[in-house]
Amino acid sequence: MSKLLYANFFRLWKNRLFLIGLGFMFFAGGFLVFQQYRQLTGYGAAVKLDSTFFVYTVMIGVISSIFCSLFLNVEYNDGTIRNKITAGHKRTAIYFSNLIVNIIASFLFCLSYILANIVVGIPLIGTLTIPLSKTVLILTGSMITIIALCSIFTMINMLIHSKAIAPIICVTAMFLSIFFVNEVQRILDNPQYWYDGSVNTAYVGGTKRKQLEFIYNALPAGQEMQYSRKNIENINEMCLYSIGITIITSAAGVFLFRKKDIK
Amino acid sequence: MEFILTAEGLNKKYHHSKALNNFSLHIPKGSIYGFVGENGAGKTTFIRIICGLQAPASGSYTLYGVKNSEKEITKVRQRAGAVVESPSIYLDMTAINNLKHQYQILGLPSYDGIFELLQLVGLSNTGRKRAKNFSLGMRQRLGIAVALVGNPDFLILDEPTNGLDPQGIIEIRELILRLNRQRQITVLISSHNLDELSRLATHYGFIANGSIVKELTAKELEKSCRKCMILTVTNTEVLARILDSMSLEYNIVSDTAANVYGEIPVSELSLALAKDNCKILSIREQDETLESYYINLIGGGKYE
Repeated sequence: MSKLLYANFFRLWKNRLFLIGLGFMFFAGGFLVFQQYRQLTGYGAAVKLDSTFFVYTVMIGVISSIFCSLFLNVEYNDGTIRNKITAGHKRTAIYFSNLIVNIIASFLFCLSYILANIVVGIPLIGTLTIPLSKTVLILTGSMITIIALCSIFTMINMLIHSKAIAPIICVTAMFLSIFFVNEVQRILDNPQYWYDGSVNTAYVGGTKRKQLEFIYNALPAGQEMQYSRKNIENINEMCLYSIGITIITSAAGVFLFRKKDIK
Repeated sequence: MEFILTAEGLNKKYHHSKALNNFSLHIPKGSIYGFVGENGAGKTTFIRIICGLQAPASGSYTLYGVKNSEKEITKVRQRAGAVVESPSIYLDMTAINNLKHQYQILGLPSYDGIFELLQLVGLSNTGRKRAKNFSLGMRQRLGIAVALVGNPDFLILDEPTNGLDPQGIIEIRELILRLNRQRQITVLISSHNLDELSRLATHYGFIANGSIVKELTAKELEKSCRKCMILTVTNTEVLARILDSMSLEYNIVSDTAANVYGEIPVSELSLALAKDNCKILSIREQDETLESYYINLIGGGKYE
């Protein structure tokens, strides 16, 4: 598999989309920090680097879905996956080498965003105020979520060889899950009682709340949302769900890819 | 005879249609094997199977003496290069980077030989031009160069001249001949361009409805493709009677025409026909080509 990884990384460094993605994430990181700085200088608002530092967790899902789809689908579209198989590589190795490259590329997108926050943010609005241990936990948790997302996107793109369909499925699914999770979050955020002590009729409790909480914690989009809000209350549960998603999608993906007729 | 590739009783189904049906084939070492058949006959399916892209439903094939059911089959596949349907190249990369990528896939220790490969396929001056800006012929040649990385001794080319202009076809033909003669590479080439194939192939395999109908060498084909005279006359019954009396081999192809084989005593024949009031309208010589052989074989049910 090392040969395939070497070849994939060779292609990654020469891939325009990857370089554009890195540039975009750096720009986005710098732009958000600068907006905070304008709040500070314009209105004297108390801004912190904390408010922008983890926003990458919301963006990375969409960025990864686009990148993974276009990067992997080229293999089918240009027919280059045939070279790998004819060269005697096992399909499992081809699958995992593609997954690993997607994960690394997505990590690098995040790193690019974080780098912009550090380089632009620290001189302008100061350092993080949340404890280092919490920062490390959020970073670790979000990386595990990214692995789960990449596993899903890799599975879809390795099994659907249509250049048009696979990216549409990935990007649409990502957006839909973000909108869905946003709605779930809005429902869950409703307080049980108002400030005056009256009961909030919009509050959802009981089994339905548990079901919504499960969705919020299990879906990678929900996890991203929580990490962006620096909420690590359910981090263990979220990590377990992400690991489960990674194992299930990778196992299913490899199983079906090994049986797939390639044209 | 030593065979690079043999297939015995291969079967492959797509949904309800049989792509390969008890397919058997034998490719001798050092040959240029012309794989001939109509669209949907099963040529590409067979090529995909031997490249490991698809699995047969039943039957087996042997590559370099290793059966497809053995574990070593993936290793011996490295000794083969293939261009299946379209050239397998990254369109957003240059020719050199495409080759470097293939070197890495094969795990070759250095990039030695890249320039020679580019020279061999006539792409040494493409510089930083990306493959998407190449002509179809250039892409096809780059695809062949990629397939040649690692010095394979078996090259599989599926319709390599599809969509090429006459110059491109000549370039690909010369390249294949050069590879076969200079590097002793065995070539399996499927093509619809029978005229082009007849200039290259040393062996032929004719496929129809997923089965090999006939395998023969170019020499055997040459023997089978006999010269004949096409005679157009006013009365073929009279012609048949006279040809029988002269012990000439023939076959009547229409109400007014017949193919006559062997040396024809034209004066004697015309006099005899004139005696029975049968006029000769035209006489012309015809060589049976690969194309007519193929038409006879596939269309005429001449399955030997």
